[in-house]
Amino acid sequence: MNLIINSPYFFASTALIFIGVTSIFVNTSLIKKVIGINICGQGIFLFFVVISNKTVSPNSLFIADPVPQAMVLTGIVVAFSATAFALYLIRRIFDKTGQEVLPEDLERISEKGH
Amino acid sequence: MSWTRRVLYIFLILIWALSSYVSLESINDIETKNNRMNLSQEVENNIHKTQLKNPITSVLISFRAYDTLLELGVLIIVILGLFALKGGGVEFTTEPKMLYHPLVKDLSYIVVPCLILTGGYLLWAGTSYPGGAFQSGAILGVAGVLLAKIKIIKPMLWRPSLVIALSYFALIIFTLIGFINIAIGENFLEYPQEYSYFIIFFIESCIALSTAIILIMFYVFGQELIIPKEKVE
Repeated sequence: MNLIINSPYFFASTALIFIGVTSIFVNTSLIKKVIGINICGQGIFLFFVVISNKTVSPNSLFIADPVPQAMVLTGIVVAFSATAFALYLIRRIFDKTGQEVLPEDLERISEKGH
Repeated sequence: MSWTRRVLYIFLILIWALSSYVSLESINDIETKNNRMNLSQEVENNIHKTQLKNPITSVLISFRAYDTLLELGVLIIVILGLFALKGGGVEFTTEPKMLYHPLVKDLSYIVVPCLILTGGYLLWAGTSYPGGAFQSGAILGVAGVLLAKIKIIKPMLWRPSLVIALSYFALIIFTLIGFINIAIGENFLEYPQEYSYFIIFFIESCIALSTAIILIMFYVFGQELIIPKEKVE
């Protein structure tokens, strides 16, 4: 627990998650939402790597816990494939409607102009 | 966004952050410490059974091989989703003319062999040093996307059935190795210890190939079958 809280990468991961989630809520443009989802995902992966800190004993082979790092590798692959699919969906939405916003956000744009 | 909405969102995010901090408090309880399984210790005790030096690769492809198998399934599901959305014609109205500048082509002739060499090294080094299957697959996929974007290779126009078959290749080989293990007498996806290095390296190279092909298919999927309307400078 001390290794996690005292590491600066813990606060970096929290900041990344915060930035990503905020940009999902705030933006009306769909591509910016996808970028926000990616930033949030990378923050979570950084948190996994922070978790794999461990105190090193003299007769241990490895200096970090390998299991969360393997989960991060799986997560990165799933994240980029989901991003590719989401971008393809956004492309189709743009072709059908002419602008890349969800119908719920069209009112927000007509109110405020962006 | 109105002020009440902003305050509500900030309040929700703060509650979520606080709860994730509080949930880490129980890590140092005596009760959870005694009942907890120390996975890194288990990996250290059992890594000699995989004949590898890199613990992350051994966890990915030997100890948690089922997760990797289903991850390859996730990639294939996304490919099927792309095929399902294909109809209707994704027409590109603009394409930058600088994409076909001769300097881009000559630089790619320098960059792509370096990428392939790096990808190959990462694949080989994944067993003992930092590296692995998905890392090398990503780099080889980048090389392929670069070549396909500037139309040096046209995979979906040349042999679409071969491209699609290669993207399924790793999943099928991995499952077959699992069933061959059952035929030999071990459990599903527990490789025999004498050939463990060779089997893991073979699976890694199939995963790298398939991941690279799937990456190329993601980014140039509908483009080669559509003629762009105009090329803009």
